[in-house]
Amino acid sequence: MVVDRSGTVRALNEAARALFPAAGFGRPAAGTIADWLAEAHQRGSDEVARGEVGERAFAAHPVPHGEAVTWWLIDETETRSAREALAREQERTAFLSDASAALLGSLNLDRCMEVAARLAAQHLADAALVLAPTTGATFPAVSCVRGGEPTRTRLEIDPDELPGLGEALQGFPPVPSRWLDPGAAPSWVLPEGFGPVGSIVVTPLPGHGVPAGALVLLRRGDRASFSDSEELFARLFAARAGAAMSAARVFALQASITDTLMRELLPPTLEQLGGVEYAGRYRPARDGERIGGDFYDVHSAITAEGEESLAVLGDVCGKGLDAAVLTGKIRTTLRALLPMADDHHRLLDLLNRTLGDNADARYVTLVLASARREGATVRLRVTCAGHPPPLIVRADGRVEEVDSQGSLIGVLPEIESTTAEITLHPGETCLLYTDGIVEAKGGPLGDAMFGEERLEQAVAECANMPADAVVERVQMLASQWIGRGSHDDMAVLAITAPRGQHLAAVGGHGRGRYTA
Amino acid sequence: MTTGLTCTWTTPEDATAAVTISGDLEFATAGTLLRLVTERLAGHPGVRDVRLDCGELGFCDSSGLSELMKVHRVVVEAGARLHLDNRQPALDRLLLRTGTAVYLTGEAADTRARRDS
Repeated sequence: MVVDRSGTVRALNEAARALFPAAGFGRPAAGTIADWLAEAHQRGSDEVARGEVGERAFAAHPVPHGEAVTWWLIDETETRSAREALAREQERTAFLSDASAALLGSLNLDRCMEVAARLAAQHLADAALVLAPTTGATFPAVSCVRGGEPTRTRLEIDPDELPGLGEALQGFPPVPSRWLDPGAAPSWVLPEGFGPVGSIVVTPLPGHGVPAGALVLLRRGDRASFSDSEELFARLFAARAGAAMSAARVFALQASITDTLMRELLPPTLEQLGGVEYAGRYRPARDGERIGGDFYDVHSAITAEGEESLAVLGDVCGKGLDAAVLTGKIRTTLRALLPMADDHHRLLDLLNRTLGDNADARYVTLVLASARREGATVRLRVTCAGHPPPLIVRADGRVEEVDSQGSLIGVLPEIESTTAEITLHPGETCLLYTDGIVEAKGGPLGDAMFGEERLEQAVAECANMPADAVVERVQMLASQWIGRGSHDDMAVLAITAPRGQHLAAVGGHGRGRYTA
Repeated sequence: MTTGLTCTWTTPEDATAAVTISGDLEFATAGTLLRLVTERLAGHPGVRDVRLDCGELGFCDSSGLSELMKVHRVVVEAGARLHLDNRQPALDRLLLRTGTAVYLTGEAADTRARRDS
């Protein structure tokens, strides 16, 4: 179509005539062709103009030549709708990716449900209700109205009142969302003051093999109902929300299993037993893990004769949960073997047979220390099984190594062991430790081991200290040595002959009488 | 001190394998020595003696000792004998403390090594 400067149509081809039936040679363009095109011509525009003619969309390309402009009209209805669809898809993809990030940002199920309800209410509907499956009578639910905050509730309901919801909650494979008669919806589906409902869609939230829940989308009466593509989109969203919720459920389950295991595997709190002071400290290799390959226990006397208690400190080779599980096994076995505690070698031999034959050469090294109070002193029988010998701190600050030696437990067909007998006088301590202490790497350059000498020096300063102060000091010095470096599990256990306590009647100052 | 671990396998004679260990045997390096010995032994069925040269072995912790025991097991199962040569005092102390010297090296205890397998 050629239009001259005065706005008069100079030429029309077949197609242009069909498009603008009113236009013709010599007639003014304004009023006979599309307004947007007439305006673009008026402006003398040399850029592409776009607009609609009837139901179709066109791009008009101007080619000026002298006194007139030729407008080439190109039908781009298809292109435009494709472009719009692309933009819509891009927007949805961006939303889904944002939604995934938000949903997976938390491994807490409640939080996850809140995020899902909020996103669904904002982007998919006017209000959303997220329900999780339950083992009890009430369903955990979160509802959210567009623009509002999600509210958490527990619904005491029969989910079958809303068709499709019961199946969705039982984890049946995702079925197409169901169209429902809004009038038939039970009142608990609607948020308070929501007004008349226009349409409802129930979508299952598929999980990893376990039902993750269901999503109910609500639209108000005056809004358009869900289109096919919107419904598909809702299902895409539901898949993501379901995956996140089921991950959160699985995580919660595992966390509770770990918690239960941990409670059993944690080292015990030690105190005075049969007139002997005990104290222990434990620091696992990986900070944040409370359990590992080192362990200690103190068992009260169960043999008939006397008040002899048995302290055990050991080290399973390896780290983390694997080591912790073996540790649990060994502690349980030792408990069962307590009646044999009067003969350390026999006990170790039985333990060795119980643990033997494991395929991955896992072994344990340990120290057994039987302690019995005799007057003011404590009589000890100590046996090392492949373990660094304990240190004895005498009241005058001398440090001795316990003279006992034996094979490690769990790999060798036969074991050997010798038992040492020691007497602790008041204020003296026998310190059992694992090699994590002496092998702790650190120091000024970060590459030196804490070593036996430094340990002996530290222990020497602990003469006449209560057991708790001794282990605290040793653990503290080793931790300071390590700084931020890595380390193995570290455990220490102190057995101390208590110093007499001042009688309250004497006032606790000056020389007084000691109680035994 | 943390130098990692390098293990080298050579067979100076048909029936003897020499493995030099250079570095630390510890939790972080666990598996290296065992993999090497297992793989090479499978390719040299004629080997009757595996000599670990421990002269360059730095630090050996409980995981390292566990590794040596696994190597021992593999060597014995292949019908060969394990030797720990050039042991440094620290390694000797560890073997003594844990009562594993005789078991691992088979020195002066052939009868016992046979009984294990």
